[in-house]
Amino acid sequence: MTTMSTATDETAPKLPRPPLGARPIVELTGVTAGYRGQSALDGISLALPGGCMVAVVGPNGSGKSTLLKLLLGLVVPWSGMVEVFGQTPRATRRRVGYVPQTGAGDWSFPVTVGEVVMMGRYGRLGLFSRPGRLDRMAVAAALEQVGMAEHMDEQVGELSGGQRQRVFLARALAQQPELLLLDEPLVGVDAVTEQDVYGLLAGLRDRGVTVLFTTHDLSTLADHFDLAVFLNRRVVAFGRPEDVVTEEHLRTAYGPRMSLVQIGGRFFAVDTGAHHD
Amino acid sequence: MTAFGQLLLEPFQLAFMQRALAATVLVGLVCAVVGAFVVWKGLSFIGDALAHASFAGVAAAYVLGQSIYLGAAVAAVATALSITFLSRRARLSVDTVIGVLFAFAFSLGIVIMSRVRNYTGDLFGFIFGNVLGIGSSDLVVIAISGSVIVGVVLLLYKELFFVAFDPVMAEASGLPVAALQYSLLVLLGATVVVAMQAIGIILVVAMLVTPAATASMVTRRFHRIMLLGGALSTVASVAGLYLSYYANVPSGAAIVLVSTAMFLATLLVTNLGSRPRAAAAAAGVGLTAAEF
Repeated sequence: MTTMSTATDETAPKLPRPPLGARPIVELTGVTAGYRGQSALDGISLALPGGCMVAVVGPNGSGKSTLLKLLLGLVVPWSGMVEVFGQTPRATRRRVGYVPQTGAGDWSFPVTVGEVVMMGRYGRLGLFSRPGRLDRMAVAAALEQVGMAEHMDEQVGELSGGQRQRVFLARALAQQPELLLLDEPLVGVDAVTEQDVYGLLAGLRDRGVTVLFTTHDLSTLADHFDLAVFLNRRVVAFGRPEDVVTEEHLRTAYGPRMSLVQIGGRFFAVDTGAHHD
Repeated sequence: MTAFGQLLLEPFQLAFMQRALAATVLVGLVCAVVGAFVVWKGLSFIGDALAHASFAGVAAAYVLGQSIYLGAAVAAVATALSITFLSRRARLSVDTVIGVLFAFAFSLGIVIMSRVRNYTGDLFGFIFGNVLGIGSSDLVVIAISGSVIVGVVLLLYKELFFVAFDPVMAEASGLPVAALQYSLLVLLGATVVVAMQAIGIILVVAMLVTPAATASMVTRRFHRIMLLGGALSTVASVAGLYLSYYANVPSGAAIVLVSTAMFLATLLVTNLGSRPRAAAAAAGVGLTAAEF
């Protein structure tokens, strides 16, 4: 297994760290949203500061993915207001990177690793224009950062789950986003990849990128994240990870069906109720 | 000159054979470029439907004394847009909506044609293709519209490619995904119209699918599938026209037979090697064939 490089992408601009009390980078005010008449988020309000690493936790169906899709403009709120960098999500898409859940995408499609990562540059390039030297450098740097440089010409369909996730992360890195959204990016990936991803994201955060990350793994939140949002269709808690993941909040979110399971020294909240989504 | 050389040169000393060759090669190149998307996005059924639906436009234009191409193009594009619109509105599968609309439009064409006296010759020409009857003006229409189609695909190549692979990420990146998906269908409709006179309504789908499918078994780079598909198409056109000339069989069908023979030969060769990529390509092609 190749490890991710700690070298930073030199083509990426270093973002200024926002001063304390600066305008939040992500702001939701009384947002209700959902799919096909079924609400996933009920009137949530949330303001996230820039340059920090934020975990979004909560049970299945608690609206974690919906929150990310709201910020990407893929889901339009029924009511309330969503602002990213003080603008509508659609207007700021180019500044927002996204790493979807594993399994997204058409894996039979003939596309190479290098081509997928280059797609991260398309929003920046705009219609009709072709990738140039700077774009190829950004792609090479992104692949180097995730330790996939030697797989550049391979078909994405022939990669393992962990490798695909590295490629998706490289695509988001090539975009050089100011806000990076990751939807359970560590489900089904190996432990080495997991450590590499956390290391890489911490490096991005240190350069001023805001990272928003949905996860089920509650036990290591305090090790990796500055802030945590506990969602259960509403904001149950928001603050430092150790203040957010408390037994009281867990019981509120998961209800009596919840039990904490310890696997390999880590705690997972397990929904022991009936199967849903 | 050897006897063999004479055999090779003889057909193309005739002006109508030269025009037929130019038309089929041009059509083959356009179909190969659009065909890469058709094969990998499973659009062969909709391509076939647009070809059949364009017949209604041909018939209407014939009756009204308007340009056949214009009529066919209007019918194909209208059908493409209706299919997308209705499948979203009626919450039916795209497959079902295609089935309903394509039979409707083809029937409409037959009814209109039946009102015209002595229609059978022309009808036969459009349904089975009449590449040997292509005139210089037809050739100009094919060359110009073919260049426009290929030009648009080249201009929008990276966007169409992104949307074909991962529409959700494409939208998250700020690409106009719905507009691009409609554009691909309009390009497909236009391709079908350009190919119609050369190869015939029934056989257009083979021109779209077969060379791109054969190329997909050999290479897994999308742009190379287009290039190789174009080369295979050209070979099929030349060989098919020889077959048509010397065996005295309809040229459209002869081209499709040659193209299919190359497909089967490639399938055999790549599967004998039993490399995983060949097996994966065969599986992808199998999906499309099942849908067709």
